[in-house]
Amino acid sequence: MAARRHQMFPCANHDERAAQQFLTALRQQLSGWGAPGARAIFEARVAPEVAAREQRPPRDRHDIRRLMTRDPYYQFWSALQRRSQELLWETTLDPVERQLTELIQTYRELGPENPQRLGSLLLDPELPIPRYHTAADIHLQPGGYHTDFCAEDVAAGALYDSALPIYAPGALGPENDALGRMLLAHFRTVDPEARPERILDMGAGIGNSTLPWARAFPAAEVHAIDVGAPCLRYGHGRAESLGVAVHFSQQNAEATSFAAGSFDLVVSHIMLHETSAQALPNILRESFRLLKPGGWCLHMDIPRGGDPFEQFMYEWETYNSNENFSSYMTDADLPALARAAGFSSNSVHMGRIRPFQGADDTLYSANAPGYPVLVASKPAVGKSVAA
Amino acid sequence: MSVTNSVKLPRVAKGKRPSFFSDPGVDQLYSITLELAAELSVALERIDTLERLLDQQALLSRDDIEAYRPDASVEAERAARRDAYLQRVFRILEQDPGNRDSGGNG
Repeated sequence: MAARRHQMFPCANHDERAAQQFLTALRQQLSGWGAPGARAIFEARVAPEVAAREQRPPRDRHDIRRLMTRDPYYQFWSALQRRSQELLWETTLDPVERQLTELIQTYRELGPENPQRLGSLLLDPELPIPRYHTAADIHLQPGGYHTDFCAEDVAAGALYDSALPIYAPGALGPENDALGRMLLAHFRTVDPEARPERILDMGAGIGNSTLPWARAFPAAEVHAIDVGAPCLRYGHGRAESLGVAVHFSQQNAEATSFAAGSFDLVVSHIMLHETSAQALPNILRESFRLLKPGGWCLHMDIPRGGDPFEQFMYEWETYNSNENFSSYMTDADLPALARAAGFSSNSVHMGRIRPFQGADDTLYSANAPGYPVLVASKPAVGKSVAA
Repeated sequence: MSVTNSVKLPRVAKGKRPSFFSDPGVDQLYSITLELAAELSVALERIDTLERLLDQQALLSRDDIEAYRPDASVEAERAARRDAYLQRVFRILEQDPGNRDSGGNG
């Protein structure tokens, strides 16, 4: 593993590091030959069989899934991929569990007990955790983002931070912040002149994608919200350790406590597909409510695949890694939902973010279509929005 | 509020585990086999550390092993060895997956 990045990052010992490196190599193998092999199987064996038997090509990703889940190669690959996702947490749990007391103490010293802290943390123990977090543990992380296993727990955040470089080796950079930097670069193409004074990051977790925004706009007041208290505590200590001012608070993006019209910019980084069909319209309505006239919201989500086979492969995590809502997002019409949330027709569009070089865009396809991003602006007062 | 080092974090995620094979025992066997592969990789790494340390000094303590940090060139050697090891384990599946049926092992 790379050198320790900040004071909150858990240290792995000799054998834990070896186990994590084995898993990193395994996952690279599984994505390197496993996914292209599945396509080769599909094209060489599965598709011709169905064409001969049923006199038609496979219809869509659901049809492909029905066929592929019977294929021994796909079964083999899926079984290993699933187990590797479980090992992702098993190999990061050991060091976190061993150091939990020290990590909590470090969080206290950097955060709540630090008179010189730059940001803040506001938790709401009464906040209901939405069902899309409690029904199943997203990504198979035991306890999810939200479960406290002891007082002032930071374990969920520490697990997430240490698992990311194994999940996507080299893709997110030494501070796991590439998604934030990518969305920031996209925002600069959308509105090069923008100097937002107040920025909100929804579903921010440990704030790894939030920090690039705070660094890019040092005069701005940057807020990060999430429903998961252990991630927010960890994120608060982490941001202070890295010397970046972020105000964390435990809130649901569907209905926050912020005043209407209080932000110039509302962003999220691959959050939407971890919510629900009921929550999604609420989040977009809340984004609209929170924006000042002239403000922007940018909701970035994961790639959905270019052709039906790629869509099927991208949905592997829906069926096998508890991203239960993710399949819905493949068909969701985000601009229509944004218009229904109050944004006007000509102020909404879908953008496409090309991953930075080194980002793990090759997981399923060298020609992955990039990250989709919903871009919407709230019309400035007294100004026609017609271009 | 007090915290202790005795906190036990759960190892199993909430949510139904998918079954990929008609016989669930096969799913379990895959998991066990992968676990063995992981354990062997860790063991080989530890042996490698021991051998390198023995090369460097006549006396050896456990603290020495814990304190050992590979430099970039050792990391590169280990990464290459790990890749080769995995390729050996999965060799049968890497052979032209589109032709597995005709290869007699599908």
